[in-house]
Amino acid sequence: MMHDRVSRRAVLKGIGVTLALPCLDVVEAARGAARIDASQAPVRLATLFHPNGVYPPNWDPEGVGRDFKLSRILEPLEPVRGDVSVISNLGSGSKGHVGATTSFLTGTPLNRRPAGRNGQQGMGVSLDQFVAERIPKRTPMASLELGTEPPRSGGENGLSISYASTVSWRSDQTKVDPEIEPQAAFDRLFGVTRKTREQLQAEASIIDHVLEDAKAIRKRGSQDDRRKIDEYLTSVREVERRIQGNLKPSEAVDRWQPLVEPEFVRPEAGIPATRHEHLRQMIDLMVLAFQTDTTRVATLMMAHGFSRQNFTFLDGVKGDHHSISHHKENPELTEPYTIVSQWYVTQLVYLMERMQAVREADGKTLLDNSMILYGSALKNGNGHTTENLPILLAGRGGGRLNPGRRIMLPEKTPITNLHLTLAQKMGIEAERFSNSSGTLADL
Amino acid sequence: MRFLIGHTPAIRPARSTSALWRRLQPILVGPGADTRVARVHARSRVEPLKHWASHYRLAASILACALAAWAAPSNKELDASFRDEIQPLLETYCSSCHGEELKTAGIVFSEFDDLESVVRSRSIWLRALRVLRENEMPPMGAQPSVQERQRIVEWIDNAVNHLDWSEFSHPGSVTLARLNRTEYNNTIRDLTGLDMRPADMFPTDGQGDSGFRNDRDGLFVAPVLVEKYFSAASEVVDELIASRIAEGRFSARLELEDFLLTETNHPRQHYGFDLINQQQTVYRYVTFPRFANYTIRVRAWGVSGRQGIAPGLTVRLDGKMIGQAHVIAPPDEPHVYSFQTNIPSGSHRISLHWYTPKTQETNDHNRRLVAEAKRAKEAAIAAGKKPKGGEPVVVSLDWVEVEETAGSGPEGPLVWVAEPREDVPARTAARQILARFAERAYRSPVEESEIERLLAVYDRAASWGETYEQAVGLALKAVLVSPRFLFRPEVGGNASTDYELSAYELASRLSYFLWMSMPDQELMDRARAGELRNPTVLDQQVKRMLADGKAQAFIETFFAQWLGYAELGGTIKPDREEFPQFSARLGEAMTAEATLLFDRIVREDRSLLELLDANYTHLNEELAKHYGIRGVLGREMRRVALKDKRRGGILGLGAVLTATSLPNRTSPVVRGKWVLETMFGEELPPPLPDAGELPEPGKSTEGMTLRQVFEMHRSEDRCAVCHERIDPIGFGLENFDGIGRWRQTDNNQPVDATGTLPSGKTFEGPVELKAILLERKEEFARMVSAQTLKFALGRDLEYFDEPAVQEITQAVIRSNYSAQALISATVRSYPFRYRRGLPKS
Repeated sequence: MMHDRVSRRAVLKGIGVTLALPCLDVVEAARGAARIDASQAPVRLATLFHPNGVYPPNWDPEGVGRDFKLSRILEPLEPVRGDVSVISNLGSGSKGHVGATTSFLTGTPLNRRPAGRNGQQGMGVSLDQFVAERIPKRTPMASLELGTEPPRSGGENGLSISYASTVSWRSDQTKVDPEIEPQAAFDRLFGVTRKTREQLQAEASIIDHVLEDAKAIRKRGSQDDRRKIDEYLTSVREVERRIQGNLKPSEAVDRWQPLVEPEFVRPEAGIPATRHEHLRQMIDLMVLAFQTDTTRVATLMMAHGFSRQNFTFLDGVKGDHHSISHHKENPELTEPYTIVSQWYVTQLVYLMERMQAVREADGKTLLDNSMILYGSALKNGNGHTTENLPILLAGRGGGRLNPGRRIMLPEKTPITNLHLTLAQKMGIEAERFSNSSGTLADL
Repeated sequence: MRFLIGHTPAIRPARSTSALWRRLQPILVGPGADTRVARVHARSRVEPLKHWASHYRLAASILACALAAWAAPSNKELDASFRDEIQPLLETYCSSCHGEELKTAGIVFSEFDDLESVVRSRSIWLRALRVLRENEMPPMGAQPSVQERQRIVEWIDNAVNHLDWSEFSHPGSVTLARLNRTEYNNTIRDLTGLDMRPADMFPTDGQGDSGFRNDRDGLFVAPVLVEKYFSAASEVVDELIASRIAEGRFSARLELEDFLLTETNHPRQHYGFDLINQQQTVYRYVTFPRFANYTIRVRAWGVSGRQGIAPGLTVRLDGKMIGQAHVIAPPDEPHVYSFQTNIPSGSHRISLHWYTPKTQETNDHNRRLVAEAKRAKEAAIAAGKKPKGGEPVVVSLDWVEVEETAGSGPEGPLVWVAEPREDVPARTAARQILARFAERAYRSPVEESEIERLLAVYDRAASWGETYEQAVGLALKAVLVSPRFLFRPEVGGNASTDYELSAYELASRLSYFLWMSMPDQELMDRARAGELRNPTVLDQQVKRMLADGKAQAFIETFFAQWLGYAELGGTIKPDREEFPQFSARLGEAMTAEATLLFDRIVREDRSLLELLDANYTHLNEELAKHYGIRGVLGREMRRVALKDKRRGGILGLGAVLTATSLPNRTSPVVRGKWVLETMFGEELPPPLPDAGELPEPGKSTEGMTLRQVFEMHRSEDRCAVCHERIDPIGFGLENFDGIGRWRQTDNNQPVDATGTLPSGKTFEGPVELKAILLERKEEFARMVSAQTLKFALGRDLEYFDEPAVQEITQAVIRSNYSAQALISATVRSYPFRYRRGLPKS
């Protein structure tokens, strides 16, 4: 039967028997898919954050250009090396784990706030949110933020460590926390399409009501109250957009459609038992989100920016990542430090291989149509250095990238030059991003 | 920050009068450490606190005022002398290190240009005062003369300790308060009577600079959260509708024959089902009519077999454990085991599983069985018979009953307060329901126009054919996603004037402080009657609120987040290989132990010093065994008198000792730093980034205790400065391992728990360490006060909160460390009752 193309299985799998069928309009929207231009695949932007830095001698490869030699940490890249570049000499100059993590995609580290003021200071918008806000709103979700660890408690240099649980910031006032439970992330991605038309209509009608309430508070509140209410307003409008998108399918007709209907499997509730499984599930969701064009911008915090994850499960490693990262050049620590970094690199390889396996309507693979920024906000965990960061750039960006090389930039190039370049390659007309001083001509 | 309170030279009001002051002090202001409070009042021009001062303090203030006005330099004088005298001295003796170039320890003295800039960075100057007094600074180079040093010391002392705070009076401003997860859950519970905990699905709240997860600056609003607000509101309203529609109390008897099995070739019994091995599970789905508390009863008995293993039964709902029982009832006397849990409406899986209980109680039972089996076998052999083979270990199940627990819901209707009848049109009933619900949800009176707007939502839904319940439900949902429900707006005042909170705003601050939930009817009534700002009423309300079960929220949350063990079992997880003894259950018992200590101190209004040392704690069998304490049987936590002083107080709590360790070992640095910072409020500089962490025990450390490894690695001078203060305290706690067990050896070497503090005091082990720490009880009182104020306000403290912190501290000390005096003083404090708005734009 024809309806099988919008997989009913996808909608019903794992949701239980009481669920309503999807509203018909979504099905109709999918029917219209044939009308769009199959040669114009959208470009996707993914960021994978690796915590706690690397042991520099085991990261920096030898040689430049195509003939470079993979370093120990980068060895796992061998099967995909033609699709990934190592970029050297990008830096942020930030301090500490919180400073470095908050500046990784923003270019500006979080500062202590001055006395008598509320809120945070100094942060700007992060690359992912910057792009998500500006690209044409054709997807049900502007961006997707995934992670594996909740915000941790404690402080570092007077800054709350919980700020390092994400690299995504809408502004200095709005931290975007990643979703860490696979099932909840799945429901967020694909949940709204499961609501009935009546449910959606009802929600639309109360949105008007609460927007009015918010405006009333905004009018009477102080400057800081307003900022908080604006966060709320923006978020409610986002919900509204998703609802409207589903209520008025005509706007969704030119949605990019997957060539082959993917398998939708709703993950089990809770956090997977092993870190390995947890990350794999999150990466699978990211691929699914890109493949179905549910979003074009995704960020994965492979771990918290001040991660104390215990890595004793890896052979040759004993202890937590952060403790190991302060290695003092002791081989008993640089070795496990290297093994952990390698493990993180294999997660990138997994993502690339999964994306390579997805063929798109333009004949290319999903990896060909994507840009993956992979890296850590610290170079050497021992000393918290933030110059010459460990950065990889994978995928072909729909032909806009020329991967497979080691790219040597001038020393101390601001990492925001890369961000600006990636934003431009996502089709955004911007001349500056944060403290950028220019663009990178040869990626 | 290190604060000096009490009979220390630091509290002398001014140099020229110090001798006189000493003589007059007992006469003028009475004994004790009240002098600074008196001063704060005396110099306060605005005197917002005057209604609150006791006669005694008022009299003291007047006298002190007369003295102080003549004695201490005014702020203006301090400001002038800073520029004329102090700055040049700092430039001469300090700027080579603490100048623009070197910025040693991040301090640049040229950045301070007046009194206000000094006051704003009070902690730096407190440190400066200490090191100058103790001749620690300048460490080298040109030294100030004795007179010069004295002049700087006096000036700083006046500026940081004897300041006229009135000029800097500021109640602070709190960012628009968003409900955090706990507050959301509790508010829904009290608003609807449904303890559904919908916020458990929300993203984890961040923690602001105050260290608490109710810090309004750490609570963001992102699209993902708003999406979840919408789903949570739907869930709650669906249950409200279900609760109205469902009639009578739900109950059902489920015979085991109707359950599904995970192993299909297993023989069923005529009476039901036998669980014979650990992997078997029986389950079935049940459709529940509405959210409620349900009792699940299981009729079962057990056969322990000759292995002597007492069988156990686990009951799960949708895979989540709701209870366990030791099934030791014999076959001829089956027992009905009972479990209670909240279950939402809809279809849910009930499953029964085997488990092997290992407790003192079942072990005794098992030993008896093994002995009996042995005797029977010997008797059979002696009688020349063939001994009988043992029976398998079995849990036999007969039936399961599910019933809505009687009396578990609210007494009257909380939401459906009106019914459409012949003489009451549906729209009129809807109006009454919405008016009442909105007022309670918004925690303040609601204007007619707002009720009209809610009715418009009802009308729209009714117009497209929704049922009465659905249409009212949609308007209820609008209330639950409104910013007036999700935030607590305090919108009075402006940037230049301090604004006393309205009675309703105060009611909300109180209830979110002590209950982490909405105000109840009595608080709202008091607010409406205009009585809540009356200090006597406020005190009565605090007492009443602390006696209420809902105060559990404050007790659990505040201490766990202050002391840092809130994540125990979550992100704080001991390494499984290193500490296989640590289980989720043990972690829960540790958390319960801590909570019960605080619960007793707060609710029974005991001394806060019991936090430093107490002669009791709360244990169950598992935790007692973990601590090596005998004679505690069973799973329930109960109070246990301690025979020695090793445990008792915060520093003996398993939760704290585990949370201040690394996953695979103890860390004397973490523990020492924790004691100084978390318990006594000292500010330690961060470690140098290239300092490194301790290596994992490897070849180079074989046969050494952690302490020896440590001392080997602490040979660098630049590290020793701080570590001389931190490490001895941590080493004093080395008798507790990484999961809080008592130990005499580490790495097969005896534990050396001796320490020498920078003051020269020596001690051995936690007992003597605690005695030394008790001497710092006034600093501890200050820390508890500051933390309580942060939590109560939902923001980090600022320099201008200093007078409030001092007042609360003094109230605590004066009341002999009464826990409830701490809460009362916090609630009476200026920043709790006032706020200042920020500029409009």
